[in-house]
Amino acid sequence: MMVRRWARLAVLCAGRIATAAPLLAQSPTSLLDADPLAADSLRRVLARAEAAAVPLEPLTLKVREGLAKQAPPLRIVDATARLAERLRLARTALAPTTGTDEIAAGADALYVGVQPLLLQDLRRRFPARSLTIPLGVLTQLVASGVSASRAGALVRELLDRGASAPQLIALSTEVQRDVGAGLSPSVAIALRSGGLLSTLPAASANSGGGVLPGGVTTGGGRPPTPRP
Amino acid sequence: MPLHRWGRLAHRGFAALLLGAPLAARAQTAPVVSVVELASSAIAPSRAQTIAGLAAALRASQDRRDWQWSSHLGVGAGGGRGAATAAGASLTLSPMRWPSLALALDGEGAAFANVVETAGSTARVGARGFWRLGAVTIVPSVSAATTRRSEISPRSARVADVAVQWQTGDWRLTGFAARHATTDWPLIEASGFLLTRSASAYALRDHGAGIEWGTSSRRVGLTWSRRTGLNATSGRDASWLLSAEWPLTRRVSAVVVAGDVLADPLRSTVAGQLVSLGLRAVVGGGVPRPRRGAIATMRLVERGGVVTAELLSDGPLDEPAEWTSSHVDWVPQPFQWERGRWVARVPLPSGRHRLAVRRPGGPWESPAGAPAASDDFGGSAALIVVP
Repeated sequence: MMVRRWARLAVLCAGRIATAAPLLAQSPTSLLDADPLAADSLRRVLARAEAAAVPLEPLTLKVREGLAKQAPPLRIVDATARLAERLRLARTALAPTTGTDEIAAGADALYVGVQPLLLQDLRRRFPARSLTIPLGVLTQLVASGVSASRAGALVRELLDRGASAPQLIALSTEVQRDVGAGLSPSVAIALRSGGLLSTLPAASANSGGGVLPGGVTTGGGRPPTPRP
Repeated sequence: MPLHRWGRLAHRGFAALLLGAPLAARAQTAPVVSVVELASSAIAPSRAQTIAGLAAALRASQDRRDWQWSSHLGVGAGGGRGAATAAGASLTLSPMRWPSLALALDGEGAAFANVVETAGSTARVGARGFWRLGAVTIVPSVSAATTRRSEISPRSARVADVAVQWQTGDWRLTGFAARHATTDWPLIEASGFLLTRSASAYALRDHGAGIEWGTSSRRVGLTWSRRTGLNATSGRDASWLLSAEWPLTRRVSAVVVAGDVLADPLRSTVAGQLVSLGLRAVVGGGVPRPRRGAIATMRLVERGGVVTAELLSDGPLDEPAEWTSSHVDWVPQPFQWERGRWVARVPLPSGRHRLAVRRPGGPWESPAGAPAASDDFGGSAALIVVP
C-alpha cells in the first residue's frame, strides 16, 4: 500500500513538473488525489480554514511547495494545517484587515517566533497602513538572529517615525550582510538601526497612522486589500 | 646612489599597505574589526640594487550610536646600508547622521639615518573625505608634508588629489588625479629626477585609473598611473601596480603588491620595481563566516527598477543546481552554466518571496546570503522582501 502510494505520488510530481501550467489551476485537494487519505485530511483542513475566514491561497501554495519538494503527503497536510492555524491567529491579530498578503506576512512572522500581541499592537498603531512589508522585514530580522522582541520594538519605532518600505528593506539587508560578515545580530541591528533612526524625524503625534507632517503617506507597500 | 637614500626607499612600499588599503576599504562600510598586518617589501631601483624592509600595522574600528571611527597605526623599518623607520596612522570618522559622508585624517612619518652621510625625517598630515552618491564615491584629499635633513634647511610641500570611485557589484573602477607642489623644495641630486634646470621647486601632476574586483575576503586590483609636470620624474613616467588579497584561512590572508613605483620627491625616493608580500590577520570580529555546504550564494541586485536574485553555485558541470520559489508556484527551475559555475538570475516582483536551491536529488535548502527559515518539509528557504 505504502509503495503504491509513493509510486503514485512520484508519478504525480513528475507529471506536475512536466505540465505545470494546467496543474496549477487545480484545487489543493486534487493535487493530493493520488493519496485518498491525505486528500481527505487536507479537505477537512481547508474546510475549517474557510469557515474561519482564513485565506486559502497561502494554503494552496504550501501544498504545492510540499509536492515540489517531494514531501510525504501526510506531512504536507500537517504543514498545511499548522499554516492554517497561524493564518487564523494572524487574521485575528491584524483584524479588521483581511488582505491575504498582510495576513500571510503575519503568519510568517508568527512562524519565526513573533508574538500575536505584537501584531495586535502594530495594527492598533497603524490601522490604515498595510503591514505586509514591515511584517516581512520583521520576519527577516528575526530569521537573521535578532530577538523577536528587539526586532518588534525596532520595527514599531521605525514605523512611528515614518520609515519607508525601501528603508525598512535596506535595513534588513544590511543587518543580514553584517551578520554574514561575522557581526552578532544584536550588534548589527544596533549599528544599522542607529544609522537609519538618526536620519528619520522624531515620531509625530499622528505617526500612528503612518503619515508624515504634510500629509505624505509613508511606508510604501500595498494598501490593505478589502475583502470581497 | 647615495647610501643615505637606500634605507628611505623601503617605506615607499609600506605606504600602500599601511595607509592606502585601509582608507580605500573605508570607502565601503567597515565592520567592527581589528586587523594585524605584517609585510615585507623589496624595491629594486636598478638591477644591481635591492632594498628590503619590514612593516607591521594594527587597524581597528569601532561603532558608536552616532559615530563610527576606524584607526590605523603602522610602523616599518627598511634596510640597505642605510636604515629607515616609518610610521603611519589614520583616523576615520563617519557621522551616522550622514551615512554617505566620512572624514579621514591620516599622517605618516619617517626617520632615516646613515652612518656615513646624513640623517633626517619626513612627515605628512592630511585629510580625506568620502562622499557617497549612490554607486559613486568621491574622495577628495589634501595634505601637507615637511622634510628635515641634516645638510639642508626644512622644506615643505603641498599635495592635493581627488579620486572618483564607481562600484557595481563586486567591481570597482577608480579614476584619480593629484597635484604635488612646492616652491622651495631642492631637487634631490643624481637620482631618478631630471636636472634640466637648477630650479628649487617642483610641480607634479599624477593621474591614473584602477580596476578592482573584491568580495568580503578577497581582492585583486590593477592600477595605472602617469606623472608629468615641472621637474617630474625622469626615465619612467608611467607605472602599473598590481595588488591582491587572498584568504589563506578564515582569519589570515596573504597580501601582495607588485609593480612599478615612480620617483617621489616628497619621500626622496627614486623609481624602481616594488614587490611586497604580507600577511593580514583578523584578531577581532568581522570574519566572514560562509555557511558550510551552502549549495549557492544569493544576492539581490537592482537594475532599472527590477530586483533580481542572483544565485551562484560552484558545483561541478555534471551537477546542475536547481532553484524554486513561491513566486513560480514552486516549480523547479534550472541554473545555467556560465564561465565555470552555475548561475541563475531570478527577477522578483514586488512582495514577499521564499526561495530554495538544491543539487540533483538533494534536499531543498536556502542559499547563503539571505535570512532563512525552515520550510516544514525538512529543508529551508530564503526569506525575501521586495519593495
